[in-house]
Amino acid sequence: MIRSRASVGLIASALVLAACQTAGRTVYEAPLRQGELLDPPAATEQKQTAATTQSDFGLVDADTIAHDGRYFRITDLSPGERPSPETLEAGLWQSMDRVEQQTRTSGNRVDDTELNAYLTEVTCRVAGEHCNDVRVYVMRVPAFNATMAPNGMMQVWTGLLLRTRNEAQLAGVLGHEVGHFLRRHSAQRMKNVIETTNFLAFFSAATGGWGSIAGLFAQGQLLAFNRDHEREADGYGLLLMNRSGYDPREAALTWSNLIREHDANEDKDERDPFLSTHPAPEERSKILGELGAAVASKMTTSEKGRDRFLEIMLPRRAAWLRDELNQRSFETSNELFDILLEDDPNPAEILFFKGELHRLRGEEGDEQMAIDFYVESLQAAGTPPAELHRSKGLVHNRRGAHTAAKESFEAYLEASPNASDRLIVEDMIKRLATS
Amino acid sequence: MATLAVFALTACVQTAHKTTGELKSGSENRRIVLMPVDIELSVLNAGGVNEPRADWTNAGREHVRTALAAHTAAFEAEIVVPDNSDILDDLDKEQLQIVKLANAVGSSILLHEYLPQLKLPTKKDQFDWTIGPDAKLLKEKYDADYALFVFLRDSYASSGRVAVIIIGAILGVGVQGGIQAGTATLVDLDTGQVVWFNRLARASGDLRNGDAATETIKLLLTEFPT
Amino acid sequence: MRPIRSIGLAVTALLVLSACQAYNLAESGKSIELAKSFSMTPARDWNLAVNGKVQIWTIEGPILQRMQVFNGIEDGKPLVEALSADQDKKPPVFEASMTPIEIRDLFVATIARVSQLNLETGELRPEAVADEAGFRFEYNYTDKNGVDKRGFVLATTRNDRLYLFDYAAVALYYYERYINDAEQLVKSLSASAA
Repeated sequence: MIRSRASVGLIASALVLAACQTAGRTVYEAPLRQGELLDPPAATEQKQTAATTQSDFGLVDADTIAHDGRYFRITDLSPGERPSPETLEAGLWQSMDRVEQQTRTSGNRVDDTELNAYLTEVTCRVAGEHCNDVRVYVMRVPAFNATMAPNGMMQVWTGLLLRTRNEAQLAGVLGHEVGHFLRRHSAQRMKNVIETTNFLAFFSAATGGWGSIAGLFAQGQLLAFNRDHEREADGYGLLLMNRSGYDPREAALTWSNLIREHDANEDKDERDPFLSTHPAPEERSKILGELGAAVASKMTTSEKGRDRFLEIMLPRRAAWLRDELNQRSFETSNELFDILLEDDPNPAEILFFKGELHRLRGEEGDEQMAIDFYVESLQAAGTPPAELHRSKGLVHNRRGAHTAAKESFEAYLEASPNASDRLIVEDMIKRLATS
Repeated sequence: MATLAVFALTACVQTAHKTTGELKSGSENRRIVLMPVDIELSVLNAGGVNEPRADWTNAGREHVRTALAAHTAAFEAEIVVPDNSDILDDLDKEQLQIVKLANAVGSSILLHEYLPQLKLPTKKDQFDWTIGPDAKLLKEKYDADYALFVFLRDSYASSGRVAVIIIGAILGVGVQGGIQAGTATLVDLDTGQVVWFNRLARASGDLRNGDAATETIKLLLTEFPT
Repeated sequence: MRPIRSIGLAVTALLVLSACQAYNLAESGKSIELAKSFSMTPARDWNLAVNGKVQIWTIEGPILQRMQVFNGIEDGKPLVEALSADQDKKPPVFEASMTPIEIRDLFVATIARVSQLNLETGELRPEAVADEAGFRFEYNYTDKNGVDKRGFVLATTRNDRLYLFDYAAVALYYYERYINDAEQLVKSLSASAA
């Protein structure tokens, strides 16, 4: 419906700016002031409705919030609640139930019992009494994202699992998504979209197509609405981390790492749709950092859960790293690999993929860099993937270093005698021997 | 989504495709299992956003079942509605693949039989589509001779949308109102052959209402084998 | 992290569009030239749609089964021309010096980018294509709708161009039903005079 963005009116711009600035810090804080912070953490015992005043977070006092209802309670959606059939929300739920059916058998779903059990466990710890309302699906998509549907279907993408470094960071994201669910953000958004486009349809029909100013305004309003939801969900992320005993300071780290990746990309697209619908990562990192520290100061113990997390993720990671390289976003991938290398228990694997990055990029000097990283990987702690020697052979082969290529291929076959490409590699060895 | 786009492209001629005009007469009462009906009723808001309505969808599903049963009873065929018919969860992996294949075949029929630009020259004028002999697994599961797959979407212009349509008409701009679209596929569970297929695409009809639903089903089941 | 939205939308639009190439009859016994390097002679009637450098051969429509022919992809070009339009990400490209392993990886990366599908590949082995050195591998995947698919790829490089034959079909019934026709098609390949 919102088609024309061509003519930009000053009035519209002003309205858009105004819409953006209505939000900010208070939205992040609202859940924290509404929900009671717990210490020591009590993961199983979830308290509902908390009218306790937390003056540390107070720009508005707790009573005001309770009265005007603009800010929100964690009890918005009660456990097990389904919206009644005549509501807009019920229609959304029903539609999403059908999508969920599809998701369950979709080719992108990671059908991995242990991984799914782990994510369900962390989700339940975070969601508390809403554990049964939320169902988590791991989707093999190489981007940092998680989604929440109004009916409680949550998707977590493998690109996110690759980037989070411990269970607390994962819990922060899951808590954020649970916040979207509890606050019924999808239904709010749908209602807002319908109302805004309705307004727009009349406006453009009545003005015979001069709807572009209205269109811009409407769009700006929708995006601001989106950003407020994200802020509020971030607040829930912190609240739920606190309630389930995770270190709330970890939430901000997710964002500072993403900023590093984003900045590494020289031809980044500033019109990235993620950024237009979400608050700037810088804002999220800053505010979550401050609020996370404040929440943490109220907790005597909290957990990062790094070992548990990595124990599950590391054995599965190679495929996700490969997916990452298939995106051919070499600058951001390189930054990601550097971030991982800072504290990774298996640097050999990451170094191998740094080598792969240079092999696949194939620019000036990349061949030597690739070889160097393969060599470094072999000397580093941890285990590089079996195909390291094959990749090394491919680079040597490309450079015309036939003897070195042949030796690498032979080393590959010796290391993995049952390789699915054995016949091709033997064939290449034969050709190299005669060339 | 793709399916709906195709509906928009297909002309509104009502012709069913079929390989036979008659159901097999082996057993006394021919049994047709109604696979979970994929149905959604929605309001088309003034701004063109479709808002799904759960209460209407539930009512529509019931009306469709009733109308189908009444329609086929007239020629001694029994519509079997499996328990738990809204979900496919009680099918095993292989049975589920058959259902998914049937959907893929349905999409192929819609594309290649109804869109002139996508006609497959090798098919000539023969209506020849199949889900293969594994269809037998559904026969065993439901003790049925045929399976019927039904897909329906029905949207209604809100009063706001009607106002926009009127303003548009005054200004000479065409604005889309509600639409009713659907497909129905009948598969012989002994052979897997699609014996009959039809689709519906029009700007009228109302599945919220029992009598109107009967009319829709009658139209959708045009030339249904008896 | 955003509430659900349709990530498949762009892909679906692409499918609808690419499905909109008209099909012509490729008659049994009549040879078809492939970029002046090969010719192919079907032993049965097929439907053939051509979209730039990609040919779609099908009997039952591409949703159920099809042979996709990447017909002489040039050095430095992606398998799917549309990928060049993406300003954010470089497309994976073919290079004339690539080994079979690298071409296999290129194919897998291309499918991941175009369709967001993850292929599982089987044994990679040498196989001649019309007397040129070539290679083959099988693969399988589950599509977005949850339909299990099976396929094989046969490919070779000639005069610095890539010729890649990709047969895929619904795993249930359809793969087996037309596998002999697909094999016949690639066995009929013969090299044209260079």
